[in-house]
Amino acid sequence: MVVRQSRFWHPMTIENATLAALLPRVATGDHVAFATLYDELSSMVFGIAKRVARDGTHAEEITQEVFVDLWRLAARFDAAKGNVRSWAATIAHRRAVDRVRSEQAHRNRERVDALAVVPAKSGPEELAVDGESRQRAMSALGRLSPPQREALELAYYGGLTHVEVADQLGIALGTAKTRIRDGLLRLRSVLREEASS
Amino acid sequence: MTNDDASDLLALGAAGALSDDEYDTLEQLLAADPLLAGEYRELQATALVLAEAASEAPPPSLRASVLEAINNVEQLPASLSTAQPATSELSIEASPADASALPASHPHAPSNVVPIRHRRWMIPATAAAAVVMLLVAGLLVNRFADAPSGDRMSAVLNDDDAATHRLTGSLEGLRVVTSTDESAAVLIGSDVALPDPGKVFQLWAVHDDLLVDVATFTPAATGEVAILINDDRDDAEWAVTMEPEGGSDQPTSDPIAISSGPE
Repeated sequence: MVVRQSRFWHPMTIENATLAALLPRVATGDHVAFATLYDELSSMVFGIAKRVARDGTHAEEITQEVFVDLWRLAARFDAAKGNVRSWAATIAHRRAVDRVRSEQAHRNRERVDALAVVPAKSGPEELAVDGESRQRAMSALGRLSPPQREALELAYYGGLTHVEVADQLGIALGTAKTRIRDGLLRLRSVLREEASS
Repeated sequence: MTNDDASDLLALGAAGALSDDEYDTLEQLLAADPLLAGEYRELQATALVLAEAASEAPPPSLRASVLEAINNVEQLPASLSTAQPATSELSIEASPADASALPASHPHAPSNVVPIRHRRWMIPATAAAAVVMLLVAGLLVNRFADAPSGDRMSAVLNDDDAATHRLTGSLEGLRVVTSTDESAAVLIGSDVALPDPGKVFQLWAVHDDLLVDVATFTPAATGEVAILINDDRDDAEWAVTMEPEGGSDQPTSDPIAISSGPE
């Protein structure tokens, strides 16, 4: 397997370096720096939470949990090993998936039945409102084939394993794996094109 | 495992599409191959697009709630990052795609931590097996087998060079005393609250990049806890979670007590 050492495009509203510089301040208990961090990341964190949890109240709770985590763990963020947005996104996604799986135990998979891929918002008005980084992300997702995007979104936003994605879509397991994998690799190619253009 | 299998595992992992068991397999793969770990980071970075695409402004009132919520939250020191579980490749965000950014001498250097409760905060079985607990009479310790040894416990507690790690959080009254001379540590406490019905407390140690399941325990009716641990590494940090009876292979809750370095 080839490891490519390419420059990567990250949609962001401010430079990662700027965000990363906030973390040491947050780690010292700087509430102003934390408020800035919240302002920069809250839309992404809340968006993930709401998309995965599919419930505004839960999304608010998850968002609060994520930011408490960021506050608590700020000293342990290592800028050499990642960027703040991705770190926050990972925490948010996992918090949300955990919440969904917990809720699922009580709802007898009601959520999965209702999950049928919900297309990401893509109206031009919404894109204008949500800013450049979201537009660019949406544009990148729009370049996936519909089956790839469907499988990838079910996995990421639905919190489903590839086995559950196959079951949900009524397709072979191998097909589900291929769609998710190829979708992500296609997305990577798109980002590289963005980075080089 | 073929290259195709590995590619599938990496991509599915980055998309959040693996089962817990499959994440175990992926973790082992990443631990054995730093190039794959770099590849995984790159795919995680790609998945960030999905996060960005979902962006939605939260209710304005949430900001004040969050800023208020942190007022009573203790911040963890940086030191634990040097004792991150080996599974941390699965626990972190995506890095810039440059695998060479990883120190060659420590290709799986700890990465950015995630919440302690996350299901992927896991315990390598070999590490768990390396820690041997000694039962202390009168305590409800659910794991490990070895002879009680009150003398040794006393020796640890009376060691002038022993280090004390006080655990703080919602569960009060616990501390871990480590003695290099005795090659052991003691979890000791008084007036410790009982766990919820059907639950036990579980002690975890984090050191040498490994998260170790140390023991489950329930305080005596008097609130006393005293457990001898055959693990003297005083660079460990310690955390307690509340788990279902029998304990868990990995934490299922936030830590209710955690150490912040020796006193």
